[in-house]
Amino acid sequence: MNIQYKKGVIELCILAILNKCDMYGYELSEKLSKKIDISDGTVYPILRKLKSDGLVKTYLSEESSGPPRKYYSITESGRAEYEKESADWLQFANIVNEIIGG
Amino acid sequence: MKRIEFLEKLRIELKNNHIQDIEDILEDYVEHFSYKLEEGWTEEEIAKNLGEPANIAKDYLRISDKKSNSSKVPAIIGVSFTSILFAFIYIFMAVAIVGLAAASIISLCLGFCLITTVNIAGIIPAIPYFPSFMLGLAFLAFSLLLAVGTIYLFLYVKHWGKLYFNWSKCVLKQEKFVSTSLHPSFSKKLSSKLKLILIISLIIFVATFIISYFAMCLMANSFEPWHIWKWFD
Repeated sequence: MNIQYKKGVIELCILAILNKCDMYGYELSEKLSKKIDISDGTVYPILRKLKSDGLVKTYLSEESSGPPRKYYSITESGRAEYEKESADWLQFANIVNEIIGG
Repeated sequence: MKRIEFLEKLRIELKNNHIQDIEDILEDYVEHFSYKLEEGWTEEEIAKNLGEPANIAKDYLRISDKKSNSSKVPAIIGVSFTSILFAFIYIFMAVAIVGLAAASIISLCLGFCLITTVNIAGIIPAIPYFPSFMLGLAFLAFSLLLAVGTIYLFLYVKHWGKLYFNWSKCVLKQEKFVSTSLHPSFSKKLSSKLKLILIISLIIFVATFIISYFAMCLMANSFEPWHIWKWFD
């Protein structure tokens, strides 16, 4: 699958996952790279971009073993963006399916 | 490539591309290495799967381009201007809400006066009882209409205030502003209750007002009963 196409969708996937629950960076990266064929490091710059756009935020959480972990969580505007983008994506996917199928 | 080598190469590439918060970025990869090592991967495999540091640095270049070089001053000036404008509009809206609420209360009092024939401050002219009662009901219904209007206006103004506040926050932080709806979110129960009250009070108002007018006409034998009963002389 085309790499540029994948990168745009990964943002949406990250927002979708964080919309359900908070996660730390590595957890998110593993979850996605197991399902989608992307290189391991792809997720980190995208998380940074989402944070810089104010769509996600980070907080440190004390762990029982080891140093505190940096968790990512979705913001209000992140949620709004996710609602919009996921609706757009579903609409787009339906159209493409129609064109391919028909 | 070993872990230390990878991280150093990445640090250099990030520096060459003038990317901010290098330590913060590297932390992510340090963490990635330690979790992967725990899982049993070798340092070379991990580095290979991460890709070339030069390419990774390019990914970070794409984001930082949009922000680091722009000054915040135009944003601050712009937001100050719009805030002054918005403050004026907001004050005007607040006065409108208070006015509407006051009108609702006045209408309520008039309604009671007309029904109970208590003539406060002598402002109520002579009207026979039946039309007075009907008119009283009309004013009560009107008062309810105005009250619902006040509630709606209040909720909308509050919502727009919140939207403006979020917008200006995003402009100052140079973040993306995602506009949610211009309508405040009503709970379904509240929304349907308000609509019901609105419709019922509108119907009652129109009906009682018309009945009252025609009753007055019949009793005064004229289409201008206020003339016959000398209200405005």
